[in-house]
Amino acid sequence: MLKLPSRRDFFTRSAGGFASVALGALLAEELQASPESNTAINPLDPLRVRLPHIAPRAKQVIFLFQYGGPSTFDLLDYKPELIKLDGQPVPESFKRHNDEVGGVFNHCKDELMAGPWKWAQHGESGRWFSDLLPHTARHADELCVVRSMFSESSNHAPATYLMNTGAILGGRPSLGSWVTYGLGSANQNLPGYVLLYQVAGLGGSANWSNAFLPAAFQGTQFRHEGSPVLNLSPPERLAEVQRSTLDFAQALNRRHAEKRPGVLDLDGRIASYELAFRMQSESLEIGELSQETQATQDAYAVHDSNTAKAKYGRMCLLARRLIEKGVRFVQTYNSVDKLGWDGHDNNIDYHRRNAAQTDQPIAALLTDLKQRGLLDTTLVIWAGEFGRTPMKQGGSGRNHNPYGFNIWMAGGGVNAGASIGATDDIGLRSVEQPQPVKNLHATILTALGLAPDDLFFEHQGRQERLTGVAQSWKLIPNVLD
Amino acid sequence: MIDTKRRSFAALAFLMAWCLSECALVGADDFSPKQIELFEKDVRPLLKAKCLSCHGPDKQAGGLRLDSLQSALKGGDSGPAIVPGDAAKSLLVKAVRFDDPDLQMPPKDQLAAKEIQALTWWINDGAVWPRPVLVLFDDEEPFLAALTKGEAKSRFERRDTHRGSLAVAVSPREKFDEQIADWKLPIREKPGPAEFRYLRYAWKKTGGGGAMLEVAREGKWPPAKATPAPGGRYVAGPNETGMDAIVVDDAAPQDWTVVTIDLWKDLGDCEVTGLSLMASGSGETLFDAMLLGSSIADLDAWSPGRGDLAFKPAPKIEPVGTAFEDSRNPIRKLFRGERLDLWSLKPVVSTSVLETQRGDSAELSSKMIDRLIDKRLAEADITPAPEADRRTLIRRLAFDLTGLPPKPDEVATFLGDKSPDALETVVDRLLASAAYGERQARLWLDVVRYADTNGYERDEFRPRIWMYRDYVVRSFNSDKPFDQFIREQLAGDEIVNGLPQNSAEADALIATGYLRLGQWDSTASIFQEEDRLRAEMMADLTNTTASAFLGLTMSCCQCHDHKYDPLSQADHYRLRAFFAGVTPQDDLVVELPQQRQANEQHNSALGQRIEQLKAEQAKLDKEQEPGKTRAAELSKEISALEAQKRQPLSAMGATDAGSSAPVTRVLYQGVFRDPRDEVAPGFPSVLYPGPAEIHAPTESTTGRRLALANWITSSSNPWPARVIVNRVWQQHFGTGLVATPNDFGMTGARPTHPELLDYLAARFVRDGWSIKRLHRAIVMTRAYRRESAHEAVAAKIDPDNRLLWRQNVRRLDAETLRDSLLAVSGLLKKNDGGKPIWPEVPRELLHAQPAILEAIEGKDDGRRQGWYTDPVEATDVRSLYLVRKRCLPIPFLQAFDLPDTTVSCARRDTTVVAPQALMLLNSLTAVRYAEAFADRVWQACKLPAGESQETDESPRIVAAVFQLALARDPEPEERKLAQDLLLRHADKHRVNASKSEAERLALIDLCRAMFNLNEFIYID
Repeated sequence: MLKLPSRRDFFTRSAGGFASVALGALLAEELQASPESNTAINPLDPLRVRLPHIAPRAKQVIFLFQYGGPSTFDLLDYKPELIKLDGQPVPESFKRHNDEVGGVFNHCKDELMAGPWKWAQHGESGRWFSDLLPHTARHADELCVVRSMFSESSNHAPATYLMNTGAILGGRPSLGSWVTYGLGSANQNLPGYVLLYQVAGLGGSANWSNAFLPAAFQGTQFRHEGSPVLNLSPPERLAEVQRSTLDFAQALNRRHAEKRPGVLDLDGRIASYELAFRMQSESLEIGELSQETQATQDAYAVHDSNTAKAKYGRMCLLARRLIEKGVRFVQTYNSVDKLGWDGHDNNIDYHRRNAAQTDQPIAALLTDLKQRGLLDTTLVIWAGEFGRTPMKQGGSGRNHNPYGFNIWMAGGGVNAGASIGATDDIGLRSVEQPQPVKNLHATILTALGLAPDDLFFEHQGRQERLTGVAQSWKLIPNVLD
Repeated sequence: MIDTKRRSFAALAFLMAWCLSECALVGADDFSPKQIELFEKDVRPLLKAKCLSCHGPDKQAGGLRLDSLQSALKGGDSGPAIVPGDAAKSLLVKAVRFDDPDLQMPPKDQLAAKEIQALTWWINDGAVWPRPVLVLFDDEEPFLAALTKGEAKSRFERRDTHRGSLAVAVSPREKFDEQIADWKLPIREKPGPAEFRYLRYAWKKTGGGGAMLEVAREGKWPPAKATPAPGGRYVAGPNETGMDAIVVDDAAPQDWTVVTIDLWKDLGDCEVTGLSLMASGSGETLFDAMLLGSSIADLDAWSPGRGDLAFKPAPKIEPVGTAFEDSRNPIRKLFRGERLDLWSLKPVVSTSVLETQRGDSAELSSKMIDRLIDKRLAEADITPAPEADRRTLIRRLAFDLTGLPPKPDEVATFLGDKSPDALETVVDRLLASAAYGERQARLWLDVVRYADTNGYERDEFRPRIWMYRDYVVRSFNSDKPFDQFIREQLAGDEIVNGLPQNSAEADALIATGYLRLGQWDSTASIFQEEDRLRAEMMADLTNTTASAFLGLTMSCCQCHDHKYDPLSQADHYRLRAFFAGVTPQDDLVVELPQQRQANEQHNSALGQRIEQLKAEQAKLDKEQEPGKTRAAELSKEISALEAQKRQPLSAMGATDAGSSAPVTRVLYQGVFRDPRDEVAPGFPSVLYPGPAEIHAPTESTTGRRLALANWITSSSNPWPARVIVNRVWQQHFGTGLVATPNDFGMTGARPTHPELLDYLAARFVRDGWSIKRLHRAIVMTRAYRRESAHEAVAAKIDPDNRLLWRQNVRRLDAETLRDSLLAVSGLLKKNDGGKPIWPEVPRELLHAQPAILEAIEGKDDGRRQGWYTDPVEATDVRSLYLVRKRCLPIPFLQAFDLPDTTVSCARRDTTVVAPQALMLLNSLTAVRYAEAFADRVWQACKLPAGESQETDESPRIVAAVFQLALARDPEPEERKLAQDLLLRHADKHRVNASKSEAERLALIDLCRAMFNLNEFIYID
């Protein structure tokens, strides 16, 4: 017989207050999650919460990706020597070096360039910030800054792939996919890995691909305007009969499945329509930023006259709302145009523009997470694909620099106030405790309770990992210590 | 001081006298040939065989050694072993005679009487024991290679030798090395074991000029000038070197002449480390039989084949065998003989014996396949499912062979065909349809990771790579032998060589597009990362080729030896070396001669006309009217004519750069900046340890890829036929006989039916690698035709249906789903290939891609990195023809598990996620298809205006909807639900629409629902 009444029942209930009920139940589930191995993914329930391998410091992640290559010694890595040498040729000692990636001097002038910024120390830690980041500076003591990152390519797409997927070739699962695969997600009505962007990083969807991991772990884009997810609702004239249309299809699907016992996918597909329906209501609710107080909206600058800043503010606020709903991994891309921080010809303008768009919303996000008690369990990461040269390019630009750049983390049990490693006096190369991207990934996974070598997926006869060959990585010191 | 036997008998006599006096204690030094013969032939071998294991260099039982005359005379604990000239007093003879019960040697194993007699004679004759001579050169090939320096030509002379089979010939002026590896040959006045005093050699000078020999000691040559002439440099004939030398002979040796030199007299105690062989004037100096001896007598006693060798003769190049048969095989050594039980290494075993017994034909036989499957089912005690009904069968066949649903009239024809070969008729029709090639092509393009764009930052469009896609379609439709298909893709350029003479050759060139399918970072050069890019391309080609054709995971041994399979890291680079010469060609001319000629005529006619116009233009007065206007007209006309000139038809492919390729080296840990040992092109060492045999077809290419292609398609290769038949099997059952089609290694799946796999592979090769015949044989089996219905008993024994007791329920892949939606809605348009079609995608997705955004803003400098949306009507073609852009997969297809285009995809995922439901329910694309479907049904069923509008058409409409979407009639309950939906929805839509529009909208809802049925997206 047909089971229409019960299904209709279900949807009625879910359209009402299902979301909050479900969330409570799911958070409870997370607390007492039954041990389940990583590799045994139930196709009917792929996002089910899985136990971490080791004690976690953070449960969720917000990755604020800064694309284009921010010049970190223009933002938060104070280099007095560079300021002193402004306009002078690069000292010979910096040229005599056999760099392994590309040839960074080739497109630069033999002239060092300092920014026109005012630098000041902030917080108890006395951390330096330039006047580009007045808001982030207020969180000086909460940041854990790694000052000695290096990349393996000086080219956007490979370096962006590296930061997001651990390899300079595209086609591997992204960090967010690995984390969601490893831990599942606390909210079964929303994707476990959500992306927020206006313009995404160079290299396209490979940056948030699940690659060979199951599709449930791919990044899903949430829009910060309009319907939060593409195809969430049918065209308006068909919306009214949506449920009735679906009920007919599901009735036939059940008849079909009953004749084919043992084919799990058929049941899975019936269930996926239910989830799609639940997603619709839950996602729509997430997108309702008007539910936030005016003060909160203003803090994030969601109505700012700088529309780019307002858009980024909405993304940051959405990120917090998604985290609050239990989504495991949220990643935002900073830019509203294709330029990002990529200031080849006019570095000052690029950095003024991008800092103005992102500084206040990011600071608001940190404050907001802290006030809501979410910062302790949410790891916030700020990182680009590489840094920029202290040498001048073109009129007043800077070229890509994979040899040395800063990233920062906050919340999620990282060592607040710490600074790790250093670049040389002009900010060109990492010289103290240089850190490959692999170490950053290993550190992030460890913070989440995932042992980097135990987080693997068998693919074409090989145990694939985010961090590559077992024990080929090291934790970045003093981040989790 | 020198002498030659020929010239200086006095000196020789003196020497011999000296020797006799000095050497009296250690035995006579002047040996007769007979004595030498006796010792070398009977005594030395006897001592070696019976005595030295206990009284030799390794062990000295009783303190006795018997490996030199000195040690035998010295004797052991019981005194001297021999007394020369008196066998009776020699302990050795006593011992071997077993006279004394306490002294019997060799213990328990008395020598033969003949052997005892030989020892007795030898001792009585004076115990002649020549010391071993050191042979610097007689017939040993490494000698010449050891003389690494000098500009002269040197060679081996094989006919004109002094002794043995080789002499060395050196042309002016010299070959030399003052420090030959490991040479430190002691020269002493009284040589002990392994010490020497005399050098002897034979030489001969051809042509004019002189011959010279130099001896280096302690790495140094004799001084150039010295009086008297320095020892160590010896000349015969004219000395044209300007260096002082001891004159051996005033005349150059016209015939072989033996020279003996007392090196100790000339050089004193020293270590000889090198030689120089010289010639002056014209012709060559030939050298042979170069020896060092302790005494003249020892040298005299020497004959070829005796003595110690300064250079071990080069080992005969004996090919190393497979790891199964040869302990020298590198893989056997590397993994200590383990890992060899890998099933896919074993040769394909045809079940022909079994077959002939049963009298089957030699061709691929469906019966034979069934027999091999039924055997396993019977063993497991499983009763297979019955044959599926015809409606299910035709749906299954149509999807599997063409990727499209059957048309209602095709279903009706099949259901009504009562002839015994009704099924064969359908199969043959499907295999002959153009849609067959399109379906096969889609699956192959997955394996070779085809895309229309470069990937990475800019992701530019590749304007002509679609020619490769169309080539694949053509190849499958014409049932090109699969081995030829492989060869063309790997080495079409080496097969054709130059401009194509016919369409088959043009296709072979287009096939080299295979070598270009990987990602390509066009911005790498801006950042000096070309080396990285090249290394990535090489690795990618290697890994893809191994996966696609061999089922080997070569990607796993790029950084280290394979963790599980019998593959070494070197194997990866040996395979990589085949591609070392690959040079991308963006304009590989594939035009046929006739067209080339026509184009040339066309272009030259245009050229002539242009010349005429230019001539006219030149005569005009361009400063004044009317000349000014006329000149402008002419310019316009000229450029119009220029634009009409035809460019040769060209494809995106590859060739080799020339007759040689860059060296390939093993990269330490896979890092391109850390190259180590050089490797030559070679196949997996476990079976083919030697270097590959390569013959370049012309001077413009290396022939490497041709060699690779020929090896891959050789019948002895165990992998390729198994790999492809397994792929085709997977196409029909959802899972291959080997469940991991790109991994036939240790961690891959084992074949469920090894005998069947080998039967298919062997027959496939024998049938001329025909894919169509293979399909036909598989789909005609009873196994293929079974119901997919679940059966409790069988399911308990074999829940995963690995024994094939039923068909598997399978989900349509992304492209087949979209193509079905188009076919059912009546929108599907025929397409003959060509440039890819760009469907509309949401604007915000385009804007989200920086590279596309740059193009939209017109800032991509013509690099074609944008999205070039075609009119919507043009996009209703099979998904094969839609653009595959790496940075932005078409969202509708991506939702249904479109594979990544970075690496080879052997099998589509079929995940079930909520976004699929949203896409199929709500997307504008899906709604558009539903509207078209509704309109199609509407037009077919709705009576023309004016006829009775009162009749209820809904039963006919519902029947048509079910027939088109599911190829069946609705069941009564379904009919009721569907009619009910039409009624209720028409009512609801009536609020905002006319009656007929409301009915149409209701029908759209029904059609939308049909597209979301499991029955629509799964095949039984």
